[in-house]
This record gives sequence, C-alpha cells and structure tokens, in this order.
Amino acid sequence: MKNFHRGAIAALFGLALSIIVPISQAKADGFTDGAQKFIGALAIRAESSLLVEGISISERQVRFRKLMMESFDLSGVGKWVLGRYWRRASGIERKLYLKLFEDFIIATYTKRFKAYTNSKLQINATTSRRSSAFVNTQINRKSGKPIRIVWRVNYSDGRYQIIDIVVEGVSWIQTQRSEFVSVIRNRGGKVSGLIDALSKKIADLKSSAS
Amino acid sequence: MRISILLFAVLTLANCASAPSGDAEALAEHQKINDPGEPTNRFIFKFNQGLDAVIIKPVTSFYRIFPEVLRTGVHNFLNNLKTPVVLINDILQGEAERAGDTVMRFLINTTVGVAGFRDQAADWGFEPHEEDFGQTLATWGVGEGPYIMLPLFGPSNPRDAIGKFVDFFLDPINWWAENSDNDWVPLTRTIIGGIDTRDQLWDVLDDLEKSSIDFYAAIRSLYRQRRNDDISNGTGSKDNETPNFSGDLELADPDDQPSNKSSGKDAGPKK
Repeated sequence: MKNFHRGAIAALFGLALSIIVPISQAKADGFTDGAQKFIGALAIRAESSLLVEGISISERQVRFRKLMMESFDLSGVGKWVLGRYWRRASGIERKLYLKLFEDFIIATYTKRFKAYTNSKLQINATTSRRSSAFVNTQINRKSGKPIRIVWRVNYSDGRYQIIDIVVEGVSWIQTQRSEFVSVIRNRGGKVSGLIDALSKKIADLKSSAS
Repeated sequence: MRISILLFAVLTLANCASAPSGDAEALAEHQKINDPGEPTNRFIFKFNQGLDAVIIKPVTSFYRIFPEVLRTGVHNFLNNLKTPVVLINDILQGEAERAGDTVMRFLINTTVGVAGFRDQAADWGFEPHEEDFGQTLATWGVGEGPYIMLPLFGPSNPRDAIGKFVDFFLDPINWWAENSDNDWVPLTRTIIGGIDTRDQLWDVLDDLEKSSIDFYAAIRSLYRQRRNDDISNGTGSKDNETPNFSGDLELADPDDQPSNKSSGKDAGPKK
C-alpha cells in the first residue's frame, strides 16, 4: 500500500515536472553534477592536505579550519542548529555563539578526521531534493563494511556549500541541534547557558589536546 | 524483563506530567524530543555510566588485550548465531531477497567460515544486515513511542524493548537451552555479546563523550537516527530524511535559512 502511494505520488510529481519548462531540468542536472564535482575536488584536497600523517595537531587544525570555512556554510548551519532559540538570542549572544560554534566544530572534528587518514572516498551517485544536492559516497576500509556518507550541498552566494554530513544515517546537524536545544532547555531556556557550555567544552578540548 | 515492563508503566505515567501548555512552539519541541520521562531516564543513564565505568569498561578493556583478528572472529560467530532471528524478521517484513542473503550467509559462514568465525559470505557479496522484531513492528506501522533508557541495556523505546523481548522468544537457540536445561548458554551469550558490543562501540562512545556538551541528548538523537536508518535498511525513509531547513523548529527570519538563499533562480550554476 505504502509502495503504491509512493508510486502514485512519484508519477504525479513526474507529470508536474514534465510540464514545467525543461530548462529547469537542465539546470538541476548542472546543479547535481556541480555538487558532485565539488565534493570530489574537496576529497582530493582533504587527502593531500588533511588526511596525511606526520603533521602536528595545531597544523591539522589550521588546515581543517581553512577547509571548513571554504566548504561549509557554518553560519547557516549554526543558526539552524539553534532553532527557535536563535530568535531569542540577543545580538551579542548571536555573534558570540556563531564564533563559538565555529571553534567547537573545528575542535571536535579535527580529531575525528584523523581517523580517516589514508582512506579513500568513493563517490557513488548524487540526487537532488528541493534546493539541496545529496552526494552519496562511501569510505572503504581495510576490514569491515564501508562507511556510508551523504554530503548535503547547497548552492548559494555563487558557490557550493556543505550544510550537512550524514554518516550511516546519522545527520550531523540533526544531532548537533538535539544536543544544543537540550542544553538550552536544561539551562532555563537561555542561549547564554549554551554559550557557557560551549566555551567550557572548547577550553577542555584545548587543554586535553596540548 | 518484568522490571522493564514495570518501568514502561512508570514512565508512561510520568508522561502526562511535564507537557508544556500555552506555547505552541514549546509544545512542538516537547513532542519532537518525545522524552517525557527525561529526569528518570537521565538518572538511569547516570547509573548505566557508573556501571560502565566500574564493570563493563574494565572487562572490555581486558578483552581488548586480545588481537583484533580474534575479536572480529568472536563478533562474526555471535552474528552467525543471530541468523534464525534475523531470518524470521526478514520474512515477517516480506524481504525475500534479504531472507535469501541471510540463508546464504549462514550456509557459507557456518561451513567455509569455520562455524561462523570468518565472514566469508561478505567477501562473496552477501553483506551482513541486522533485523529485529522492533524493526519488524516499525515496518508494520507501529510507532516508536517515548524514548526510554533501560538499566544495563541502554537507549530504547517501548517498540524496540518489546521487540527485544519477542526476539528472545523467537530464537530457537533459547528454546533448545530451555528444553535441555542449558540455561548457561543464553546467559553466556548475553554476557559475551555485551562485551562485544562495548568493544565495537569503544572508539565511537569515547569520541562522542569527549566531543559532546550533553552526552545524554547526543545518545538519544543518535539512537533514534540509527534505528530509523536500520528500519529503512539504509535507504533513507521519510522519517530519516535530512531535515528540511524549514522544518518544525523553524527559524524566525526565513532569510536566515540556508535553503531559502539557494532556492529559485539560484538553484544551480548557470552553464
């Protein structure tokens, strides 16, 4: 039954799409192709600059930050992660939070990427939905099943930007949002509570890294 | 098991207590988090963490002295023992192809794979997959219900906890143990299975705990997303779609949404 519905809906959409001018189709193809190439190029850059052995933690962080700033829509994601609390935050809080969010992501993910040293990213297929392209990839390991990674890419301000990474079905921004919202809720619904928690965590991570 | 059922009852009763009234957004958020027993759950989570620090982690770290090859062998062996339960659930979900894979995997791994210690089937293109009765219930349309933290067993919900219970009774190995007075078999299997699971999650949990500012909330989110991924067999069901940026917890200013910036005329580079 579910499949029937899906089929029917897909057929309807197909019909609707075929009526809309074919130009948008060509554009969409250009978009998904472009997004796929963007991820491919990023993987090559990451391989040569980031996923190498024998560089110090601080050097890795510098390179990672550069790559992140260029390829991710960090401020867009940062705002989305805060959800309805973004509206409640004051101007100073917003500024402070976005800066901390950036530092937090850099600090937590630098280590995580180290685990993928010497592994290759295989790009499989790209689909698009609404304004996002989903680049399906996998990381092949020596043993065990390959890790499925989907990169969600938007095109804005004249460039491609990653807005989510979904590893084995787990969305990065979704997880981050649940966590941040939980922290705010447990601190009386105040964004300042999250700001405190973030700065404390970043300090902890820095002291344990050095 | 009886204790966990009692626990559901308690947590379900606690359900009514804390729903916010008045603010529609706060209510939507409350429903989305769907963790009415959060204070109790957090308490049990703390208890589990203590248990982990005192017993489970030390035992697992001892187990990790053994070389990885051996531990992988044990993991494969335990997976092979799960075959009947996986197969039954494949069939209950009407997944003929996956049921076939499960049978082939069992035949290959039990023989060529030396009683299941080697996952030869995966090398020959029959990749492993997980199925359990919680997933079967989900494919039949049963909702997950509120999040619950079980003592010792960790994150769950009524659907998945009932699923675990049913899986135990579906398993012919447990029937055999019951009928032949070999109660030590399920017990030993549960203990070794627990150590194996902790071993498999060693790096993931360590990393997550270090990098999270609310470990409990991170686990809750991860558990749900992983379950949805398992239920959809990794194809990304409706529930598991990467969130739409104009979803539930919408931003106040639509111009701030990344998806809106790129919609319409900017939907791709012009060629």
